[in-house]
Amino acid sequence: MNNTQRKEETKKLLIYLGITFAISWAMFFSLIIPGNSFLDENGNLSGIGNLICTLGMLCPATGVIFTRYITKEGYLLTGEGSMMLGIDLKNRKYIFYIIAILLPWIYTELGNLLKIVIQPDCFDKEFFNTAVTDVRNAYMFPLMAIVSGVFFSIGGLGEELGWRGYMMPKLIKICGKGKAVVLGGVIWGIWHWPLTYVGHNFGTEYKGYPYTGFAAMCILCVFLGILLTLLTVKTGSVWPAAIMHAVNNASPSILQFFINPDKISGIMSDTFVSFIIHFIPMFIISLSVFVFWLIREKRGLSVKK
Amino acid sequence: MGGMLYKDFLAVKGKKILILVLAFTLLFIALRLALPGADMVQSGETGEEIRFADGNMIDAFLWTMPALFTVAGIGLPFVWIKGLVAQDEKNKIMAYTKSLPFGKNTYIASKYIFLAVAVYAAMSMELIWCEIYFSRSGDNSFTDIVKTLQSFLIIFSSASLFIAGIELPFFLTLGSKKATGVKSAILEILFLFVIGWLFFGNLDVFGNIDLFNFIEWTKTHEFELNMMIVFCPVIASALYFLSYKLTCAVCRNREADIDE
Repeated sequence: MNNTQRKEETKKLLIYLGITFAISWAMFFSLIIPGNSFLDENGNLSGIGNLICTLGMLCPATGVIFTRYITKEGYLLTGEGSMMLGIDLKNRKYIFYIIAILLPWIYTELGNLLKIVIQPDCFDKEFFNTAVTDVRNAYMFPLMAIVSGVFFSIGGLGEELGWRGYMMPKLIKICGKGKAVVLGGVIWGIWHWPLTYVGHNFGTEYKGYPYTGFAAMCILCVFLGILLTLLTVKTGSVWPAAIMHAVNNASPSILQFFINPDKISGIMSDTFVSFIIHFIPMFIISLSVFVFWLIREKRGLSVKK
Repeated sequence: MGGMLYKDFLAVKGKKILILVLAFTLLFIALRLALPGADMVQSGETGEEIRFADGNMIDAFLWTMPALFTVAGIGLPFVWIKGLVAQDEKNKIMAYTKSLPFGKNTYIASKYIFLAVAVYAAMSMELIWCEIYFSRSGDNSFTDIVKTLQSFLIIFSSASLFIAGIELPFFLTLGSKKATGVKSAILEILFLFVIGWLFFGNLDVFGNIDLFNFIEWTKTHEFELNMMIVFCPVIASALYFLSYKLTCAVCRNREADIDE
């Protein structure tokens, strides 16, 4: 890519980021500035908070629609420079869809297992009673999360159309895969900051609030972004990333019904630390996949040369 | 394929529908934010919670919007399939598909994909409308109804996909005129059956129908409901795929017969 093309791509990317951040942050701050609460008295997302999050997730897609209109890139569904909305299961691409569905379950379960290993006291056989009426529902939950993740993936699709369908291909063109996934993850993390500030991700009762939360969100987005970008690049479609995003947000795990937060003590009781521990398996999987991906690409390039 | 989908989108007046849906969504958001619902819960004699419906006119008015949208979502295949196929029949389907730069299977696939996307879009909008309703709803019986509706969204959408899976083979293999005839005949038989039952059947069962009892049932039978939520879309999607394969096979056999 020559300098002029790079400048052109950077300009398009900046237009996209400007529009997306303007729409979504205007929406987030319209709720924050008047002092409305995102969380209810139990610490769960309030009705209005939930609506803002749902609509906020659609903002990156809206940003893409406006940007493509301004930059005259068009609205191709599939192929080079498209919105990557096609679904192609040939050449073993269906494997990536299966990965998108099952991987969040695996790393969420491993994360909860890690919590129990570090602090065995928090394992409580009867704790499921507080969340579900029947223990069978706890065992059924991951399947529920997967099905609702796949069918209610509109929020995930809204974000992925923008971040993985538009931003990442441009970033990869501009600065290469390695830098792109870090930079893309950080941008995606910064986009979440208003929500992190109001306690959507980790609450507000953690050490270093809100700055550690901001950092944690960027770290999570970098590592999760690696997996989502890989799925998008390998399938040429944003659907697997949208599905994985939605399933990840539904936190599919059986063990979570047996972890009693009241029995968690010490440093683990800090929501920030608990969050980091929870996602360690995902960080490891993501990093290994990324290193493997880069090595394979380099090998492929040297063979071509 | 993208072109075919866009053609179908125009055939069902997609642009107009999209603008209308977006306008109604904005109106609904404005109404919901301006008109918050009220809590209508009292403790009964034995300490149980009783949610009231009367007196809360705002939620009583607004809950109808996501409910109507859901009903409209289920009816999508009924309304659109005929229009989708009839549009191509103007150009004589056989001649039309031969003029396309891809095979008949891709043509059939485009119809199936279009309806699946429509069902997905309708379901997503219904979900968003439910979220809009909940954003400022009170704790009352209307909120309970919308919550139940939301938990049934996947099941309703599976039903919608199932209906499309049954109707599409008829319309694509028989043509819209014959298929409408078959559909009308089936519906008329069903209608006569219902009328007959209303005259001679046991109508006492209607006495036991109570929406609030049903809502209570969904709360006490969470596991059964979850099983339905997990398996209904899987079964409906499998049947939808089988329906596509069946339609392709029938069309292939018919083309072979014509060639002979």
